[in-house]
Amino acid sequence: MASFNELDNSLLDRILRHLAATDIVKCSLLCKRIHEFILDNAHIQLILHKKYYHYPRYLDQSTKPPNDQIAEIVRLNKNLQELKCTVKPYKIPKGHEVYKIWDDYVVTRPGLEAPYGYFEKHGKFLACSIFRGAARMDILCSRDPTFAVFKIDFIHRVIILQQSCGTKAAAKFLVYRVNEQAPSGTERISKEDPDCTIVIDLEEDIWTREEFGPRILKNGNLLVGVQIVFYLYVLVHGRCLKRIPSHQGTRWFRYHEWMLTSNELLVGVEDCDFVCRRSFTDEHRRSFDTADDAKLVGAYFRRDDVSSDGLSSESGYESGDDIDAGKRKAHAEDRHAEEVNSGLSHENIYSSRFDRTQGEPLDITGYQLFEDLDYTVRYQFERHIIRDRLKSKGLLENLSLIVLDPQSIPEKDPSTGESWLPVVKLELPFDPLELEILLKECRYEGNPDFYEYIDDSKRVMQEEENFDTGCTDFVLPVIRRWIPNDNDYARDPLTIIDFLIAIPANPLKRLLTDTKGQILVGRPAADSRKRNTFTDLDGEGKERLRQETFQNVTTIPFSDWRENAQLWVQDNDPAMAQHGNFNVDIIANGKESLILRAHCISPLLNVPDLDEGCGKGSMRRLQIPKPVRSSVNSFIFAQ
Amino acid sequence: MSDNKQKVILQTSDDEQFTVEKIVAERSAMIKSMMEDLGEQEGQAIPLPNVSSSVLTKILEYCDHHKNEPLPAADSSDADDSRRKTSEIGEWDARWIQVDQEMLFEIILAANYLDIKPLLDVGCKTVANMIKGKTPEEIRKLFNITNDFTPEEEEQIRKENEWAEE
Repeated sequence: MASFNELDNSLLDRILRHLAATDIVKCSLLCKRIHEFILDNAHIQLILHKKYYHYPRYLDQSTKPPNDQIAEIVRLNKNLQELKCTVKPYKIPKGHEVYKIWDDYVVTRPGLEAPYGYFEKHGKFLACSIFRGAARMDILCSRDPTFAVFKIDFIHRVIILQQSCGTKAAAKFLVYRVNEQAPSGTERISKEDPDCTIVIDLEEDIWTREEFGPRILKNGNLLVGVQIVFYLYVLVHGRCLKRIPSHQGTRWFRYHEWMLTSNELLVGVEDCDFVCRRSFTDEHRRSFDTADDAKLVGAYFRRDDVSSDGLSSESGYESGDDIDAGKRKAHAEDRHAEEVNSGLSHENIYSSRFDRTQGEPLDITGYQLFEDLDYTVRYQFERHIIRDRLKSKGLLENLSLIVLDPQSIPEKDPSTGESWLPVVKLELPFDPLELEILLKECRYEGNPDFYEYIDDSKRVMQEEENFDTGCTDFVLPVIRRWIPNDNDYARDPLTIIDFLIAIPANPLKRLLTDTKGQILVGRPAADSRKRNTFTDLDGEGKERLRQETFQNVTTIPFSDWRENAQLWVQDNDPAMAQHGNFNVDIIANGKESLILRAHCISPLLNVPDLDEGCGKGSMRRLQIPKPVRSSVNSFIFAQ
Repeated sequence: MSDNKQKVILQTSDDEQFTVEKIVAERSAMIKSMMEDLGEQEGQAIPLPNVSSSVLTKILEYCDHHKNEPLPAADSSDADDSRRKTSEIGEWDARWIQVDQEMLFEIILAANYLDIKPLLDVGCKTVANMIKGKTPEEIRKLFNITNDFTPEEEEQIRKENEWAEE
């Protein structure tokens, strides 16, 4: 008589693979045989690892054998535990600045300090250099590119430059395809004509160098704003799809007062009647809409509101004086239908806001901010980025940070005579925000380990909660250490001079900007380690710590605290690298309990020394708490 | 006679013979392989010593229903996880597999022996669906599984698993 007990391991495997991790765990209790099978079976272990380890989406590589995938997950989680990053050395031309980091690509372009010769190569202007490992691709153009309009989009694999033609009416966008077929280690020189696949001549004769964009939309179309008129181009062949607004002679009201919604509707206020109109930027969307430039019925804007705050939630929809109640009622149905058709709701308008200073709409639904998925040298922890990050968990894959070493001696390439600066690209195995998300989740789960984990910062958290800022998402002043892989540095010892202390805690930022005080940055005194614990941070102990532990204290007034709540500290003292850590205390007047302590570790420092020599509270190795579930269960994760 | 209308004789463990269309019999990779090995030997029955007549009757019903569907690729064995990611079963298959537990496992064992992967998947998914959401005790009772853990061992594993059930 056939029964479950007669199923061999291959059949058991087939059955268990259809189960969720929680059911597999339950099955492990059925009998010894199934228990052992779950422990030994790689496919089942992979299911469990994916569930109970931190498993970012980008790790999903089903083509790899399960053991390799498990190893990758374990490695990532181990790195996560130890906050280790991987290090990739790059060389960038001297005088270049890192313009963009995306995936494996590092894009540089001549900086302002670069000698003129660096702009020119082979009789052409060097627009940018794209590095991928040892491979380099130079983008050259025949005329001096206008860097004010310089767009690299690795998703659509294009580079867009604006070429200055000397006259107002003759602006051109040159679109280059990023072709990575260059063999590794060789230099690929693009010639302008073959590689510049599209030349887009701006059609408006009112070009005043105030154009917006170009911006590549999700649908692959190119949106270019020329003053207060937009043009939509098909990127693949450069054909102009339409002018927005569509009627010649009409314009929108002033340059900045428009926005692109997250679903890529262009909304503007027409200059003649101040009526909000919208236009589709996607041909497919337009197919069911016959009335482009359609008036958004009921969406009126007070001029003073628009000029002061764009389409803010308070001022974005004004149903008031212009339309009487009867008309509003009569229009309600049309308006609703139109909104449904357009995909534009009042909420969309409300949740969007102009960034007048940048001249580009800041769409907090996240697309624009995430479209590049890249980080420049100074990674910016913008509040809305963080918020969107939460919404779209898994969208970002890792954080890359280029660290320059100003003390290093430029190398010279004997064949070209070009000087190079060695830099390292630190690839954190996770987005730092991911860590906060994990912590946040712990907090919500009420896991006591969380509080143990934030031992150092608990005090700050409590303080912040008292401020009742209404923003409790990011109350963690994460104390972060980046310890590059020791082996990497054993081979390629570089001194990291720049440290990034990121404090993505908006309540904290608000406190700092609202409070007079200073940030103290300095190295701990040589004998300070024993006292360098947070148990000393009560009452006068805190004052003593501050006085005794810091040497060469630099103070930074709060007025210099940058909007993105991050602080770069540069210490050119070689002893700094030897000592290997420094402290940052943020002391707010009248809020003495608000103390942050950041420890940044030089890669040259002997890492084991950190655990041994420093105080319990501040320098212990950070542990990822339980929900990461990487170190808890020997039963499931026995390797 | 077209190739598809060719008949194949299958002989079960209880010595019953079934004459079926070749296209139906070829749903089984094992039978297909045997037929290729034996060549054109008309009238020779293919022995299936691990399959009883009652189970084969049921399986042939499945094979006949799916005879016009493309056969799974030969190399789509264990690496093909995508097929297993869902536990959904087609409507006809779900009705067809509504059998008693003994027959269900007989079908799974036979499908495994005959190498009929889609059928094996249907069977395994059905068992998986029976397991889902149940406690270990319920699963043991359902499938008559003997708990061979000592109380201490069981307690230890339960303790270890506690966090995973949060």
